[in-house]
Amino acid sequence: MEKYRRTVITRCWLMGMLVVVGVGLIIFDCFFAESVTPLQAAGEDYRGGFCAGLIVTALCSLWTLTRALRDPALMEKLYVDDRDERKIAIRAKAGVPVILYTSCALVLAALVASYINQTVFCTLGIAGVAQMLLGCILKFYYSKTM
Amino acid sequence: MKTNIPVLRKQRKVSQEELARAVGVTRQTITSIEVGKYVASLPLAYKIARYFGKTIEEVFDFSDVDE
Repeated sequence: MEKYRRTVITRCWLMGMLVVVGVGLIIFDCFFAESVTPLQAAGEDYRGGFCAGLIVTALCSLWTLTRALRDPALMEKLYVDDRDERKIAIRAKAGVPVILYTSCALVLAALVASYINQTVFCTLGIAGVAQMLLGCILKFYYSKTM
Repeated sequence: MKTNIPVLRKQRKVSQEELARAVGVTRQTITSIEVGKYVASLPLAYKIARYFGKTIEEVFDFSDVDE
């Protein structure tokens, strides 16, 4: 459990970093982006939504993780949830690890592309979201059948 | 795969939650094993059997497994 506690602390740091990155992106978009590249409305909306989502998600995770650090019962629940063999099997069957990494890569690429080209940005964004949706559907399906 | 887990639980008045906590899985996993949706791994089957003080064969029914 002590090893898992260190994992949770690492996750807290990662979530904190994500919040900082999100806030940094918003500041960059508000004050510096226009001087670097001509902004497009759709890309601006996407970046705003992406950063807001990133910050809210990271803050929620951070809240849960810090609560778990103080509450041993919640820590045990997180530990069991993380290591439950059925959940691991569902994630593996749905291809969640691969889908998660490739979707994140696509969404981040879309974020960069939003500064450069509207068509590339839309294509990457749609592909990333579609892949995430597929992952969610598969996970839901296998969680009902397993 | 059929199991005797519900019978053993009732005999010992153990809830799914208690069993799940004892063997280190979620309650949903125990439910899935009981209804036959999920086949437990060997280490988990061993933990469950040991919890009830039985052998794996006494807890899990292997009759439908092909020879």
